[in-house]
Amino acid sequence: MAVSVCEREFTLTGVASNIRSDGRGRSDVRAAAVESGGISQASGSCRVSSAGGTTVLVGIKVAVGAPAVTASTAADADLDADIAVDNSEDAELSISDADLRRGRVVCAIDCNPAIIPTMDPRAVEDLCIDFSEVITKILNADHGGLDLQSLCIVPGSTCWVIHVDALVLGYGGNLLDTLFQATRGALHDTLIPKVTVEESTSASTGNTSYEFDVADDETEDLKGCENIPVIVTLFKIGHHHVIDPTPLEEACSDVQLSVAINRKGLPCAIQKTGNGSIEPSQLAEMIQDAKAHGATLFKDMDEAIERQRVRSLNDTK
Amino acid sequence: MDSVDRKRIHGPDKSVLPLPLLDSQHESVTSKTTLNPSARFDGRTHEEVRPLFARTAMVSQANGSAYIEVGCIKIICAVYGPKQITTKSKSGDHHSGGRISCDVRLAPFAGLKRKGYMKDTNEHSLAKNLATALTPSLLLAHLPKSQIDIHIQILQATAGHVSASSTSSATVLPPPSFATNLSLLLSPCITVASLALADAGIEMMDSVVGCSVGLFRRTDKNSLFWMVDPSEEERETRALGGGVWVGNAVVGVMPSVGRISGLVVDGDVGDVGVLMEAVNVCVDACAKVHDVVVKKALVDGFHAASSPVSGSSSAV
Repeated sequence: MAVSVCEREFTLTGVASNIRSDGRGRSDVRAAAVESGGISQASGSCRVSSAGGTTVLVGIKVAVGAPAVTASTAADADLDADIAVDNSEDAELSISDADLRRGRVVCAIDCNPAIIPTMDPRAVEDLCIDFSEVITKILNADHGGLDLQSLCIVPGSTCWVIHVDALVLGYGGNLLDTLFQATRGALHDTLIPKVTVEESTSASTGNTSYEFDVADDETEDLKGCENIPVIVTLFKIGHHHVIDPTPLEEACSDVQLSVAINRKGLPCAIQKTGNGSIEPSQLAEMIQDAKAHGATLFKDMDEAIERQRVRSLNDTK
Repeated sequence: MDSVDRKRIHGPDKSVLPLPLLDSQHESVTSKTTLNPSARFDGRTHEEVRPLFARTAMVSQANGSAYIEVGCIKIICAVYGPKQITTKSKSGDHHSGGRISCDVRLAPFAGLKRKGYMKDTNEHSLAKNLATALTPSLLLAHLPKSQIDIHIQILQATAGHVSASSTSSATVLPPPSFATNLSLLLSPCITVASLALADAGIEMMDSVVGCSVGLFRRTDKNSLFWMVDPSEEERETRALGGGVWVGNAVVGVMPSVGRISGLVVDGDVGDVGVLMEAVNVCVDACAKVHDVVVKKALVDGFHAASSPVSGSSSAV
C-alpha cells in the first residue's frame, strides 16, 4: 500500500503523541464481537468481528486421517489417508516416533483479494499462506496447548486431522490476531465424535490389527483448548509501537512482532516481520508489552467464550 | 552461460580447515545461567559457536555467491541481480524501491530421509524468514523497479551418521522433528545469503549474520538455560547436562549497526529476561562471527577475484 509522505508524517506524529486517528492511545484495542457455533454443518465455528471492520469466519471440520511422520512426508501422509487401517506393518513401524502417536492440525486461510483493495492480489495470497503457516505451526507444536495425543486413534496409521478453514470477510487491520482469536474460539466450539478402538492379535501370524468405530451421536470436546495461546502483534511505527492498527497504520509500520502468549502469560513463539530492524532494548520492551496485552486478551477471550457456552446451553434446553 | 552444467553441484574443489573462533580478545562472560562446559558434546562453552567455514565466489555465472559449512550443515547461495522487474504488479511500482525474492531449496539427499522435489511449507517459511532478516540490511530504495533473486540450496541439513543398518537397532534415538531442524537451518542461511549479496556488490547497510540458541529446562530445578548454536547431537538428544529442550530462537543481527533484523522464537522459552539474555548472547556471537569469518571470506573473495591466477580456479 502506497502512503503519501503527509499521511505517513500524520500517522507517525499521532503515534508519537499517543493519540491515533480514531482517538485511541497506542495500547488501546477496538472492541471485538465473538460468536461461535454459527455453522451447523461444521464441527466447530466462530466469527470474530472487530469494530475496525476486520471480520473473520472460521469453520472447523474434523476428519479421520493419517498422522504426519515428519513435516517432509506430510504430503505423502495426506495421500495415504485412505489406506486400510488394519495394515499391521504400518502400525508397528510407528512405535518410536512421538509424531506418529498424535493428531494434527491443518490450517488454510482464504481471502478474496477484493477485500484488501490496497494490496496486490498476489501479496494478499502470500499473506494468507504466511498466516496459515504461523497458525499451523503453533497449533501443532508442544507449546500450542492442544492435547494432540488424545487425537490419536491407531498409533502410526490413524488419527484425527483437524482442518481449520478461515475465511476473511472484512479487513480493517490486525488480521493475524483476529484470525487466531477466531481459530481459538472455533476450537473451543469443536466437538469430535467418540471413537472406540478394538485391538486383536491373530493367533497364526502374531500380527496385531486394529479396528475402530466412530460413534454417530456421541461427541466430546477437544482437549486442551483453554491452553491455546493468543497472538499479539505489535506494530512499530516510528520509535513507538501500537497494537490493533488500522490499515493505514499497518502501512506505516516498518517492524511487526507477532508474539504468542500462553496462559501462564509467557511468550511461546515470536516472529518478526516487516522491512525494518530493531534494537535489542526495544525488542525487550515490545515483548513485555505483548505479555501485558496477552493477559488482557486472555481474560476477554475467556469471558467471550464462556458467554457463548452459556448461550448455546440455553439454546439446547 | 548455456554451457554450464546445471545438474552439477558447484561445491568447493578442496576442503579448508575452519578458522577457530576463540581468541583471547573474546573472553567468555560469566552469567547466572552458565552451564558446565563439559555438558556439551564437543567441549564448547555454552556461548561458543561451532567453527564455521565460509567463502565467496562459488558460482561463476551468478552475480554473487557464497558457500558455508557449519558442523554438518552445508549451504550454497547464489545471488542474481539487481535486474528489472518483468512482471507488472498493480500497485506500488513507482513509489516503492526494489524487492528481493528468496528461494530456499533442500536437496533431496539433504536429510536422513529422501525428500521429494516438491517444495514444501517448511522451505516456504524458511525463505520468508530469510527475506525478513535480509531486507533491513539492503538499501532497496536505491534500486527502484528492480529485483534481486537469492537462491539457496541446502546440500546437507543433518549429520549423515545413521546408516541403514543402525536404524533398526533400539539404541538409536528417534530423529528430531524435521521442523525443529529446519528452523535452525535459518541461521546459516542468513549468513550465507548476506555474504553472497555482498559478493554481488549490492549496496548494504551491514552484512547480516544469523545465530541460533537452544533453550533447555533443567530437569532437577525448574530453571532455564541456553546454549548458543546447538549442534545436531544436542538437538537430537534434547537432554543434555540435565536439561530438556524447550525451544529455540534464531536471530538475524546486523553486527556493526547493533540491530536485530530477524527473529524467530519457538517453544516455551520462559520469561522475557531469559529470552533477552539468550538473544543478547546471540548478538555477541554474531559480532564474533562477523569479525572473524565474514570479513575474512569477503576479503579473500576480493583478492581471489582481483588476482588472475586464483581467480581462474573459481571460474572452472
